[in-house]
Amino acid sequence: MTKHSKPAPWYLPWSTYIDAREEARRRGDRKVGTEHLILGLLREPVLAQALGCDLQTARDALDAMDHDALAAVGIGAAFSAPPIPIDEPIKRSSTSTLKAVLRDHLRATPAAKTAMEESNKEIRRSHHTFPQQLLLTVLELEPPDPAAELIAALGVDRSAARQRLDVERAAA
Amino acid sequence: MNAEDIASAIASSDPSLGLRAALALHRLAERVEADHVARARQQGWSWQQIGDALGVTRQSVHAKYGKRLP
Repeated sequence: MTKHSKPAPWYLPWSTYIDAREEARRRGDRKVGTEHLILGLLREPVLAQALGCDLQTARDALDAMDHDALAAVGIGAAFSAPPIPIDEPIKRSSTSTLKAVLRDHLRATPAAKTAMEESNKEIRRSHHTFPQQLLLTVLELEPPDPAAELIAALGVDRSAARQRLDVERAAA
Repeated sequence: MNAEDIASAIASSDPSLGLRAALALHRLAERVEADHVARARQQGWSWQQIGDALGVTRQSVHAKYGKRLP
């Protein structure tokens, strides 16, 4: 790992990942998945606006999906527990590289890792910020990917969300 | 509901729901663990005692919860 400081966009994957990782912890997951990337990205008001939903709504939607899945296999509502308390994510050093992020002790799922790596390549071409590009990449996923399931459960209009993100870039 | 009923309900279900349910059970277990580790600390349990109860070392339980719990 290189120790010398790097300019943006290197710090962007790191802070995005920390937000997503805390959401994974809160939910009781042992890996950071694409659905947690969405939760993390929803902390950015501009991105929440593009998706047309807020963080708490998305958290609740995931809990409701768990509830339905458990009910479908015959495990009733009596089996539930509160989310795990989390600290408000603390933004870390801007010198950390994407590699360090992906090696963090709560690992990313293969799909989340791919989405982050692809987005990090794509921003050189697309001129989106890393969080915007990551949201665009995640919006392309199809069920049974958990992010795609969440997007569907929230009733997000994917093409409208993409358009709003493009307007955002034009305005920047 | 006993374990056999749960197993047969899971076996007969649609895989997309069944697989999601399997992960939901992991999440449920993690939430119950975190909740009760916090209670144990409030009641004065040592990290060693919590580790023994969970079948892990005191170091690993402290690494997981020590930052957030006294």
